[in-house]
Amino acid sequence: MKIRGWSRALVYLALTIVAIVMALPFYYMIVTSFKSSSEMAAPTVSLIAHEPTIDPFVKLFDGSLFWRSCLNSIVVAGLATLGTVILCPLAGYAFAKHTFPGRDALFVTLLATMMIPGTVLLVPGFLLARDFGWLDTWLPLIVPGLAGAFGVFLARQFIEKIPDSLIDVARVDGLGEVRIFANIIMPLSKPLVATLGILTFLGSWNSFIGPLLILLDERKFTLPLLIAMLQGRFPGNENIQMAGAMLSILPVLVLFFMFQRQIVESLASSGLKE
Amino acid sequence: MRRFAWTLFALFFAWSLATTGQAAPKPLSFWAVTGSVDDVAMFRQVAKDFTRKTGIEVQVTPLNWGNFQTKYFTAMAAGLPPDIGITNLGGPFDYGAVGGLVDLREAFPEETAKLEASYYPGVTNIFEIGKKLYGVPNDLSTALVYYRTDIFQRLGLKPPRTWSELDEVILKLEGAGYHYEFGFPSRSQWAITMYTLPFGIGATSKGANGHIRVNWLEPKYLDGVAQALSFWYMHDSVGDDLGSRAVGLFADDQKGRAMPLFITLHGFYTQLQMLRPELEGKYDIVPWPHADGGKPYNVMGGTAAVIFRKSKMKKEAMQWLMYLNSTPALQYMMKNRLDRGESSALSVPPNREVWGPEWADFWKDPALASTRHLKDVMAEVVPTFGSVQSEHGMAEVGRLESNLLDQMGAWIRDEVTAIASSKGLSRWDLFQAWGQGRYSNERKDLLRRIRQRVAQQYGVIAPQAESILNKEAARYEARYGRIIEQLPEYERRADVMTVGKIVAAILFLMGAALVLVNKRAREKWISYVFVAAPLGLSLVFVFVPALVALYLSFTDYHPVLPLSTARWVAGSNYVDAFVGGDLVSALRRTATYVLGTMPIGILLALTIAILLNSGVRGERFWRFLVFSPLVTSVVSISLIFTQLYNSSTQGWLNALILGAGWAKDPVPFLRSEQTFMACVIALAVWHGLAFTTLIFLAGLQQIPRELYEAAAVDGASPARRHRVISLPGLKPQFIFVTVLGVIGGFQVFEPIYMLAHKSAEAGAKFGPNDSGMTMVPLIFHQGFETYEMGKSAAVAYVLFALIMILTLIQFKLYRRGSSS
Repeated sequence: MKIRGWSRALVYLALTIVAIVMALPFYYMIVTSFKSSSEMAAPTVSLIAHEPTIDPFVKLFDGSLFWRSCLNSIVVAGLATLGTVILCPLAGYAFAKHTFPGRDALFVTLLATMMIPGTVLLVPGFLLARDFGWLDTWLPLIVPGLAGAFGVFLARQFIEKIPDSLIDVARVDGLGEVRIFANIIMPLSKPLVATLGILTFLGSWNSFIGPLLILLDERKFTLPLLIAMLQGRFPGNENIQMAGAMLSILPVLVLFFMFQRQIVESLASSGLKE
Repeated sequence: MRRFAWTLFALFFAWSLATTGQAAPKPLSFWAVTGSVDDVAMFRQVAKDFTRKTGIEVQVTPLNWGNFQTKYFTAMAAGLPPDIGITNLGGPFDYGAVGGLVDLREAFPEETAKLEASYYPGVTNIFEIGKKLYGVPNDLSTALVYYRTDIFQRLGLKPPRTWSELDEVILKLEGAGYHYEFGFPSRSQWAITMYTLPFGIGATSKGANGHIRVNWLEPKYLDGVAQALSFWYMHDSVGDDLGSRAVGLFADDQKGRAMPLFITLHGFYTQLQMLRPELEGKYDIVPWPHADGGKPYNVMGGTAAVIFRKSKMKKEAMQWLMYLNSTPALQYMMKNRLDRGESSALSVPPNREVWGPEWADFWKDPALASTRHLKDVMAEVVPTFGSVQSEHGMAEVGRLESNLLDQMGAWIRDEVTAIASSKGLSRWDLFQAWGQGRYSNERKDLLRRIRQRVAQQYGVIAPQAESILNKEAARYEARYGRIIEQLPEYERRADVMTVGKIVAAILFLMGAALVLVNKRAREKWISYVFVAAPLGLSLVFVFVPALVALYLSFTDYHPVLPLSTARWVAGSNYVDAFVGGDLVSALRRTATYVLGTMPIGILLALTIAILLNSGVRGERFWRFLVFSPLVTSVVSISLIFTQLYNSSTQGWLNALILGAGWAKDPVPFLRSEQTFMACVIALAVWHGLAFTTLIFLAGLQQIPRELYEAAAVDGASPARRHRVISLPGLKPQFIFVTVLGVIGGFQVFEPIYMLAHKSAEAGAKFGPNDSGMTMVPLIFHQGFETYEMGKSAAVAYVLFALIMILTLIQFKLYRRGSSS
């Protein structure tokens, strides 16, 4: 619906206020990350960096394993995503298109795991990781989430809509189940794969409490863990902390800007469980 | 010939077998808690010299001040501790009490005696449990008084050497329009010891019969606490980490802003020299003032060194420890720490030689000229170092006291504000007036009331603390004391994995048997393979752990000990959780959080979604701005907000509030329990807004435009159109958002962890007076900070039940709503 005149101006005013509030923390981060230590030590508040310097970034790289943790996060989130985008559609396909004894019971059992909040599993998950000898490794951050119930649920919903006739034709042609999955289901499930991939990657990329409990060695830290530790590693050096925050946020924001539509749709679809 | 070849081959084979079986010599693993990467480089250099002399390789791993305790405990629990570690001063007691450490006196009597003789007396007391010694001090630190000589001279002030002088100096400074700052976390129990130990009163003492007495009701102790509180809260001290701004404020001359008196750690001295060389000659330092009528005393902070019981290289570890305490290593580290530009700091080893005539030549080095004065002051301070003897259960008791101090602080702040506003003044005006001798009756009256309230409140918690300490001591005696003696035997018994394996194996066999027996199932084997991954993973990583947690919630399991030491305690964890009050307050705080975030978040998101859906130009731009938090991690965002929330006038939010005239004094956002949760909520609303807006916007776009157009034709106003069409149309979205909001809200953790400075400050609580201790922080605290895994699991199950019930109620309500 179109609105005009004063109310239109009001809409823009309101949106501008919202935009300022949303952008202010990012603005603060960017400005602060370019301030020198001596400018940070000034007794007054300044809204811009008077003598912009990349010194905070240099100190950040010297004083922490920043790039290493980026790489670690990419590997961890990447492996988790890779597993999910294959294993979830695979199970989703079986649940949607196969009939086998116990199918519905198994599916309900799987869905039941979604009722158990992750925080209930903190203590036993930690002990399990310990007794598997997985502490201080990435395995507890990757393996348990490789084929989550929610992913399987999404996959089943999506694959159910693929016409049975396509699969029947393939069967008549003598294609095996694995080939049907790889050659027919997967190519038709690109939006599903994108959604699963984006959701899993974001979830893994931003996860914090798991790495906090599991990882000991700084060389294995993921990015959020390293960012959280900046307060302790550079106490009082707010410019270096902001340099870290900026480098952790900016690339993701750029990616978000480029793939805004896909990401927004993926996140929205996580909300339309019907 | 052939036989020889065979023999040769056999010998070669045997030799290679023997050598491959022999692992390469492992380096000594050495963990150090440190705030600085330069320390790591330094330790590596020292280690290189050590390797040259002894042939022992040392691998140095840095740990963060914020979470090193969790790391050490995790490593001990996993059986992967380092050989030797640098930890906080409480570490030796904490890890020793659960059998993680080597008793140095027993294992290395000769070396330990030599080390103990090299320190000032009294510094190793806190590392003892009974006759056992679990650690030695490493690098210490303490608070000094920094003051501007020029400003002091102008005002005719002398550097304070006693508390009453300090009190007077602060008053006069504020009277003249200057600030004073107490520059380190002041609410913890060790900060209180600055005021009580000069009278020889620790928090506890032990009677002849082993009964532990809490000394909180001694008049001198109460005086000390009241004194501390008045220093912290009856002046305009920010009480927040000022970061590098502290240097600027100390170097500043402008009244109303400058801070010519600053009590902070000794490291500030070199920072000042580096960042403000022009200030040279305009400032000086004195030790922490003496108590009037008490003995000279300086509270000791810093680090200690410990050797772990599971180490296979204990002898080498001790060699390394001795090397770290040797003169060449000490001198190298001293010089290294002073040669780091901005982050230089004097190291303060507890070894007498450093401060005595033995090192006179060392200090003559011209490169150390600028540090000599600081060294002279520290030489006066170090011999008076002391600390409190630890007891079992002290962590919990410390939390009790620390929370009381937070409450008292909030109360005093309110009282001061009330007095100020009754005179029509800001708090800062009132402090200035007090400094000029006005309203001194009100001041005296408040001091009197503080004393009264301190006595009354300590009267409430002292018996609680005493019972906790005696209960814990008895529990240790009855349980862990004996377990630790017999650890190797317990370690041979079952662990969680064995239990998990058995459960998983039974379930797997049952499933397999079912499939094999059933002919139709056998034919469909490929389908089972396809669904095996999610089912297997959820079996191993959800159902089994959930059962293990249920079992643990009925035991008193300590994670550093083997599972076989867990004892069945029936429902007492659940009873304790409700009766002890921790759970009830956590529930209350969680409810505050959920009720604080959800309605505002939903309302704002709905408004923004409608705005975005109203056909504005540049929609992509607005959407990008609004949705950008979707992809950013809450940890990074929290780091930004922590700085925005700074309590000083330099924090951006405070600058805004003061600049706009919305408040007369800066708001202590994260340092006050009244505002802490509000800060968390604001952050959560800000960060969550994007997702909620997104859901609503997606819903709005599904509502056919014709509906609105028809309504417009009928003459309905825009507001009415939204009420009649948008709101009912968005019902599924409302359900989704509220259900998700409740589930997510009950599990909030990251923003609280970050805003409470947990990753930076050793022993930081979840906000002042634990005001951010909601459900998951409580689970985290009990599971991974006090290591009561049973209690933690019990709380987790209560949370589980609550989320289930709330979700069901919501669905019921919505169903009823839709049927009517």
